[in-house]
Amino acid sequence: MSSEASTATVVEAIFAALQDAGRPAGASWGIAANGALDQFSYHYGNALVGNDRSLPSLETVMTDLVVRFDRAVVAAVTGASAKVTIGGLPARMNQAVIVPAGADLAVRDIRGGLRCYVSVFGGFHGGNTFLGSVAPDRTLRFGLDLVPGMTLGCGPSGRLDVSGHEYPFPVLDPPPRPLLGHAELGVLPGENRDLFENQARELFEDEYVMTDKTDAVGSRLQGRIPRRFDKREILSRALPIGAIEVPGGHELLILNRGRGLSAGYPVIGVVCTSSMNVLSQVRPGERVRFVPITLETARRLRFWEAEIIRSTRERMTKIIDSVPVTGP
Amino acid sequence: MEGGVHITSQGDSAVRVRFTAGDAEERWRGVRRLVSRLDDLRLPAISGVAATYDSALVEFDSLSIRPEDLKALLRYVSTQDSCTPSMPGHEPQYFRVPVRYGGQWGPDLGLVADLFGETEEDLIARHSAGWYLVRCFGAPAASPMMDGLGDDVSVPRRADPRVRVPGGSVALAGVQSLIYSVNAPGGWQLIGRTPVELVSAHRDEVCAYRPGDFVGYFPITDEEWDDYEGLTMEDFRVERG
Repeated sequence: MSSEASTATVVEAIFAALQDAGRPAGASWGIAANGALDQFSYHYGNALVGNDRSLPSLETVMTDLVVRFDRAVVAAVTGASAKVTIGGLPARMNQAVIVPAGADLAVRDIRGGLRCYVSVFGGFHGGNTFLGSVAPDRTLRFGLDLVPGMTLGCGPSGRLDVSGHEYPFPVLDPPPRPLLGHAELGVLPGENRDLFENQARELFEDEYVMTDKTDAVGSRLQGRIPRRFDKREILSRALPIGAIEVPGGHELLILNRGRGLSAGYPVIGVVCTSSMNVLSQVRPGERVRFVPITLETARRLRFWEAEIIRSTRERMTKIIDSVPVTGP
Repeated sequence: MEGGVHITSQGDSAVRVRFTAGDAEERWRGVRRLVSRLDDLRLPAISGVAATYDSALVEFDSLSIRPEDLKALLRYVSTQDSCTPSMPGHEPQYFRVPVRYGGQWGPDLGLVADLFGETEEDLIARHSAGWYLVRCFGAPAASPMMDGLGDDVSVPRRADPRVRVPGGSVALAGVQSLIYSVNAPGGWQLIGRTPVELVSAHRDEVCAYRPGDFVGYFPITDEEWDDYEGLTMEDFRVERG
């Protein structure tokens, strides 16, 4: 078995970074979790390439990403629909594919979403970790932004003999999400809805439009803003990812994984964990609708995602284990 | 509500434990005791605990524990009779850090001095004479949130928050004080700035201070600034003075 390091060279990148699941333990230090905003697509990509646990991937936001590998690798592209090519030939998303040595893997023309993940068997390596994670933290100016010419470690690819072979890995497009419609986000009650007229029920009566003011810290949406009647100051407290804040003005603010941990604005609802993945793919100008759900529904959505990742991981690990191994 | 502890779901991956009995000091101690006990328990299902003044947000993996089970556990842990000292955790550490007060470093010094009915010099003397208890980590990243200059004067926040407050800014709002760990937007009143580095993503420890520690200050001049630049909080740890 070869153990030589394999490398990936960034050919094109604009808004792309080395990314992983983030640092949930950071909360105890006042440090944001960060990590892939679309956690489902990140883990799903890792499952597709047969990684038995999720390893760092490349995340590109709205812009093209092209990477070249010095040895053949097993890769997968997940997330927003995009035009994927390998050495110039069209390839599928949501499928493990072999990228031959020296060939470009290109993700272009991202549509129907905002962000794509490129995962490889063995993961990408490079840069530092902070609290066990490579995920960028913009407030601390931490993270590895991809720039053309940069090289990253990847693999181990030595384990697989993929040269000169074509393996028909299954196409595993994730099935449509259950329980909620395409542009519907499940919302659990927020702790300050009592400070609003009508318990802030307007939230569920109309559509909201995503603005271009959205990043890892938060997403701002325009639409009907519930009216607050009780203006008492709220003592700063830590807010969960997905909290829907009403900062005043004409927008709602939904806190993303890079949020500052303490805040004093009222919270009228909390977008459930699974719907945060959907939100992370909503483009500026697109409309969403908030739907009140129960904790039990949120749990079913979360288990649905986890089960798809688990079964895909199990299946692909088995397939990739059956691929011949190089060397003695 | 039961036993002075109010436990509520915050979405499907977090639960808030709010302490409601006693005064602000007792509630904060309740929060610290809970954090310390959860640190000892090290439950894999709990990913992090973001504690503030009167509440702790407990983040958990909803795939491995049901919220109702976690709530029952947190109720038990929060209301268990204390057999530990009133201030659990580590022995408090003391840090005394240099501050360039006023001018471009602390543009709101004059305003704050007026609020307290003092000259700028008196306010600097008062501020740098005290020890400030670190109550919790706040925003931005791991900023120490501390008591302020006393309960008698509440410092108003700025009506239009600054788009960028420089990291190291020493700030007051309400009856609290804060050192901005990194550049961030913010509405607190700025009385000075320290050249000391508070947090780093490039060291094993995010920061040297913890809730329960104390921070004090000493004034420096423009000329002295460079001497301190690049040093970290750890370099300013002192025996209680």
